[in-house]
Amino acid sequence: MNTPNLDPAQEIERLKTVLSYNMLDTPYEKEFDELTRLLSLICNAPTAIISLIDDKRQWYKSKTGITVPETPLEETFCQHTILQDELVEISDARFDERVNKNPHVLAKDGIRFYAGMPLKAENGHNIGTVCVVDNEPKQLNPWQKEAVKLITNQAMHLFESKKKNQVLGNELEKILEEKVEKTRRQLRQKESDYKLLLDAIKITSGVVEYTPDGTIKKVNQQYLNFLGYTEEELIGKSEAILLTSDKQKENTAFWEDLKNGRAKSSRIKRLGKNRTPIWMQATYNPIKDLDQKVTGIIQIAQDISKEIEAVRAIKEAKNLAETLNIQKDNFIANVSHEIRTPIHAVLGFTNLLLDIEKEPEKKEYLQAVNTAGDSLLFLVNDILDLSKMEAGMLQIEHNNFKLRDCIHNVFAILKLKARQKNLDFQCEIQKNVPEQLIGDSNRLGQILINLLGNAIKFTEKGSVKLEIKATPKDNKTSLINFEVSDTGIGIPAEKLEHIFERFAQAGNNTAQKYGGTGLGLNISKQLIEKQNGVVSVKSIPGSGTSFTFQIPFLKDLGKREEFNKKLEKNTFSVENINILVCEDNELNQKLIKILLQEKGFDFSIAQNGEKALELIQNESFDLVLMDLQMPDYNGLELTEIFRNRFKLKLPIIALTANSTTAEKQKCLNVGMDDYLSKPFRKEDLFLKINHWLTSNLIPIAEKKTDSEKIIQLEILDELVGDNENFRNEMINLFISQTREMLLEIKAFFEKEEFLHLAQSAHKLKTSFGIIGANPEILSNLENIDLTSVNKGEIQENIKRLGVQIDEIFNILNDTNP
Amino acid sequence: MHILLVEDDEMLQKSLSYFLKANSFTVTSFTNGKDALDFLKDNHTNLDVVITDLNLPFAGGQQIIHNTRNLQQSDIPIIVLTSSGVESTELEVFDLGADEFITKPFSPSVLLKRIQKLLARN
Repeated sequence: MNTPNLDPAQEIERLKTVLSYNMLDTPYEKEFDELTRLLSLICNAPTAIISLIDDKRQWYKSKTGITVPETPLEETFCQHTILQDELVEISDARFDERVNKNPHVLAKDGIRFYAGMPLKAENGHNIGTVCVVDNEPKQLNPWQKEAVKLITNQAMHLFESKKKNQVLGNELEKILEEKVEKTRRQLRQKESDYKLLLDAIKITSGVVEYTPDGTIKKVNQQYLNFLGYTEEELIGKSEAILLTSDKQKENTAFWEDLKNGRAKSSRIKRLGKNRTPIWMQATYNPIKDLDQKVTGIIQIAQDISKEIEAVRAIKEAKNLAETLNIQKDNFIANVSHEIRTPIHAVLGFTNLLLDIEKEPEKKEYLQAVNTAGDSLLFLVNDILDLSKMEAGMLQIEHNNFKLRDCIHNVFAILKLKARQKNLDFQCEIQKNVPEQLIGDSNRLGQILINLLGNAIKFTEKGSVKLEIKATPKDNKTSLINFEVSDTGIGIPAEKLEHIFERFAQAGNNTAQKYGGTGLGLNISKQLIEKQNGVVSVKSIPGSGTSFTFQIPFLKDLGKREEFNKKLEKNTFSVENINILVCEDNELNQKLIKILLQEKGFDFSIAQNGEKALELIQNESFDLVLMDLQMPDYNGLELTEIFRNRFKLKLPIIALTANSTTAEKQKCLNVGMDDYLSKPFRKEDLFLKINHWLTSNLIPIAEKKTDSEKIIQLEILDELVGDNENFRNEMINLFISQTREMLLEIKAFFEKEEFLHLAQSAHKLKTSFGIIGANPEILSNLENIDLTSVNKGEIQENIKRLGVQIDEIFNILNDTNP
Repeated sequence: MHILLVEDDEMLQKSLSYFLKANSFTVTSFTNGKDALDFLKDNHTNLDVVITDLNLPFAGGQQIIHNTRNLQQSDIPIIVLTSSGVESTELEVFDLGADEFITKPFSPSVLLKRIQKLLARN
C-alpha cells in the first residue's frame, strides 16, 4: 500500500479547516447532488463524488454511481489528490503504482479510470476532492478537464457559502440571544421595580384584591391595621360588611360601576372591627384581561381619619374664635355703653353746675371735671370706633352743620390744655370757607381733637395752629383743607411713614412720656378716608410737625338756614307742652327732669314700659323721649305698641347710648321720628324737641325730602294758572274723587272683582298724574295678574295706597287752607 | 279754534278745559265716549282738533279715532292721551290714524305745543 506521508502539523491545520465547515455527516443536499450528476454526465463516467477528507476517511457529501457513504482513507485514490493542487488523472489504475495495489483496483471489475481535483479552502488547505471514476480505462479530453475544475470551484463555493451562512446564522443567533438576555434582564428589573413600588405601597397603604363582585380575595397587613380585623376575618367576605347599613344601597351601584370597568377614586368611610368609622382616601381599579373582561378589583387606600379629624378641629377652633370675636365685640359694645351712661351723668351734672356756679375758682374746677369727663368719653369712643371699624360698621352721617360751630367746640375742649402749657393756640378760617356744610360734624370734630390734641401734647413751647381753606369743586361740593401745625418735637423721617399705623408712636418711650393709646392717628386716618378725604404729614424733628387733610363736603344750599334760625331763637311756646320720658336710669331721669324743668315743659317720667303704657293711656302727651333699653319693654317694642295699638302719631325721639347707624335705622323703621345719642348736649335735646313741636308733625329733614316727593304741583299750577279759586276747586275735586275711588277699590276687593279694581286704579292714575303723586302703588294694582290673584299682595297695596292718599290729603289740606 | 276733549277723569277734563280755554281755544268736553261720538257726528265740520283718552266708558278712544277718520273732513288732528305707556298701544293708535300720542302725566305746555304744531301743519 502506498500511503503518502503527511506533515503532522500541516495535517492538524488541514483537519481544523475541514471541521470548520461543519459539513461532515450532514444530510445530502440538492445543490451538491446536481453538481455530481453534472460531473458524471460531462465526463461520461458512471461514478462522480464530492467528498470531504478527515484524518481517517473520505466522507461523501454527494455521490452518484456508488452506494457506500464513505471509504477508509487508506483505500482511497483521493488521499493522493489532496496532496496536489492540480487535477490528478489516472487512465488505467492497473498501471499506476500509486494505486495498483488498491483493493478496489484489484477487485473483479475494479476501478480503472480516476480523475480528481482537490477542494482548496480559502486558507490554502485542501479539505476534500471532486472526482470521477470508471471501470473502463479512459482519458479526459481538455474541456472535460476544464469542466472538472469548474465544477470543483462551484463545489468549493457551495461549501464556502454554506460555511458563511452558518457563521451568519451563528452570529444572528448570538445577537438574538443577547437581545433575549437583555430583554430578560430588563423584565427582571421592571419586575423588581414594580415589586419595590408595590411593597412601598403596601407598607404605607392598604391594598385589597377583590373579585369583580366585591368579595375580598387578598388583603395586606396595612389594611387590616386600619380596620383592626385579622386576615381570616375578611378573606372570602363581601366588602359590604365594612359599611354602615345606610350606605349599602349606594355601595351596590358603586360595585356595579367597578364591574363594568370604571375605576373609582374617592374619600370613603368604612367601619372598623369595633364599629368606629375609619375615613380613607381610596382608589378602586378594575383589573382587565386581554378581552377587556374585568377579572378583579384592586383597592389602594390610605387612612385619613386623622386629617378629617384635624379639619374638623380647625373648623371647631374657627367657630370658637368667631364666637369669641362676637363675644368680644359685644363685650366692647356693652362695656362702652356701661361706661358712657355714668359719664353722661357726670358731664350732664357738671354742665348744670357750671350754669349756676358763679365763683370763678369752683367754676374752673368744674371745667376741669368737665374736660376730664370729655377725655374719658373720647377714649371710650376711640375704642368703640375701632371695634366698629374692624367690624366694618362705622357709618358717616350726612347732616347739615356749621363748620365754625364745630371748630368752636373743638377749641373749647382743648383750650385749657393749651393754656396750661402756655401755647399760642389759634385758628384761622379763610373767608371763602362756607358757613353751612353737609357732613358728619362729630367725626370731623373727632379728627380735629385728635390732631390738635396730639399737637398740644407734643409741643412744649411755641404754637399750635389750625388753618382752614376751601377749594370749591363744583356747585354742590366744596373741598375743605385743614392744616394742623405745631412747633413741637417733630417726628423722625424714618417714623413718618408708619405714623398712621395702629399703635405706632414716634419713639418707644413716647407712650411712657406722653401717654396715649396709639390709636388716635389710625382712627383719624380711617375716618378721613371714610369721608372720601386724604391725609398727609410733614415734619422736621426739633422744629415741628404739620398734618394736612382734605375732605369734600356737600354745600348746604341754605334751605334749612332759616329753619335752624327759627329753632335757635327758641320762639315756640312751651306752655301746655306735655312730654313723656321713658327712662329707667335714675341719673338720666334726674338730668332730663332738670333740663325739662329749666325750660318749663310739663312732663311725666316712666321708669319702665308698663308705666309708660299706663301713662300714655291716661294722659295726653305732645312728645315722647324714649330710652331704648328698659327692663321690661324695650323702646322699639314700646314704640310699636304706641303706633300700632294706640294709633298715636305724636313724635317719638329715641335716646340711646348705642350710637350706630344701624340702630338709628331700626328706630326709624319701627316708627320713631328721631334719634338722640347719649350723652347728648342739652342744646341738641332742645333742638330736637323744638324741631318736632314746631314742625307740626311734618317729618324731619331727611323725611322732608320724601314728603316733597309725595306731590309735585307744577302740572296743576300750569293748568290752573294763577286762578286760586279754580285751583282750590280742583284740589277739592281731587280729594272727593280720590276718596270715592279708594272706597270703590276697597269694595271691589271685598267682592273680588279684580278686573274692576284694576280699572279703577288705572283711572285714578290720571288725577295722581296731575298732582304729581307717585303712581307706583296704583300701577301695582292696575297690573294685577288676573290669572293668579295674590290677595295678600293686593290687600297690602290697598293698605299702602290708603297711607299714600292720607299723606297726600295732609299736604293738600296744608297748601289749600 | 275748536277742540273736542274726551277724558273720563273729571279733574283732568275740567282742568285741561280750563287751561285750553285760557289759551284761547273753544273747548267742548265729554267724560264718556258715546256722547262724544254723537257730538262728533253732527259737529265735525267745525272741529279743529280732537283730544281723547283711550279708556272711556261706553265707547273707547279707538272708536273715536276711527269715526273721526271716516268723516268727510278726515284730516282733523287727533291727539291721544293715555296712562298705559305700552308701546303696542301706541302703534295700534297710530295705525288707526292718530297724529300724536301723549303719555300721562304730561305737562300742559307740551300738549299746547303739539296742538300748535299740528294746526300749523294743516
